[in-house]
Amino acid sequence: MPTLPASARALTIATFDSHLDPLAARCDLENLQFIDAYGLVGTASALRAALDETPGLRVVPPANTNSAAHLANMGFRAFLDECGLSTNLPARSAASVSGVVVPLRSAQLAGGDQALSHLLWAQLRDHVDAQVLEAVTEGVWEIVGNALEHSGVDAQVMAQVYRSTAGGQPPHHDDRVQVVIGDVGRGIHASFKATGVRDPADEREAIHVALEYLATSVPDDPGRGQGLFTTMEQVIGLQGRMTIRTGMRWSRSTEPAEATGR
Amino acid sequence: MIRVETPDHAGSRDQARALTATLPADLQGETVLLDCSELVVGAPSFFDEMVKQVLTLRRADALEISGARDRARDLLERAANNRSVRERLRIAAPA
Repeated sequence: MPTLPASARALTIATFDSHLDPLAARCDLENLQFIDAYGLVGTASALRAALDETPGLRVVPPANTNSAAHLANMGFRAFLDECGLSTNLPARSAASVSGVVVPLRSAQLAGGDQALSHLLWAQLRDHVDAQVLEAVTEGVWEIVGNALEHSGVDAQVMAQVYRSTAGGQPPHHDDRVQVVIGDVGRGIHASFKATGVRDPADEREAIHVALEYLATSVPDDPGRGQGLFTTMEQVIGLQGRMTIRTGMRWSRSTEPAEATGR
Repeated sequence: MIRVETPDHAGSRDQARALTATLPADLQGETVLLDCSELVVGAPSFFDEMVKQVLTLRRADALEISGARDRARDLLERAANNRSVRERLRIAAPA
């Protein structure tokens, strides 16, 4: 049976794992009231994995019409269409007020990492200052590149802005942005194991190794292995937070030492 | 001198490989100029791959950088240090 979210009222970075049902017969979003970008990319990734073993899986949309409309505006209906799944979510509204700046989309179908970079830049430039904009875009290049190269499958991307209390017209440089990138590839541990360059004991150790500067699964290429480290360096330098998850292990960082366990 | 111009958004190794694909396999005796004046945002992987393609694999005498802002200059220096070719990376002072 696939592992999917079930009976959740909220699917967020804080609650997602606790709502995963390892014996789910369907993706049940009927009670959903709130979902953030992490919850949606997580749900989409879980569905992608589940469809490999259970084609034609049923997705139950939220009973609450506002929640259903929000999910559609986040790009979930378009994602289900791509997967060949039908559900009675409404169409995406042109006038979204949800803060969704980049709806859920496949990195490859979006035109690859360069198209994503342009889209993210254009959508965020009125919400965050230039330094944050550059750091976020740089990080997306690195993480999407890692996902496409090492996971062996496509990646799902979404970005959402939480607006400052000031409201009104952009630019609001106090706005916060959440960018989530997910894939259902082999995972960081298996990626290291495949080449044998490094030998982490498990997924948790694999995250720590991946965050070391110049740690890579690519043999005989001494400049590789900068992406995750420099993204972490940039995010933390700007008082942001980066969360890395692989398998059922995850690491949330406020500073590199905590993230790497050193 | 061989001139290569970066796109405005440059972040992937594939982009760097594409930019250098038409260069000769052996660049000994040549200097390659990387013009970053159109660059809006660049990522470490792109710069590392440029250094690798030009200085490590094709063994150019020098990779000269123009029009790069601080972040791009820093990432290029890191890449050249990591690949032990820093002495062949030349970064023009900002105008």
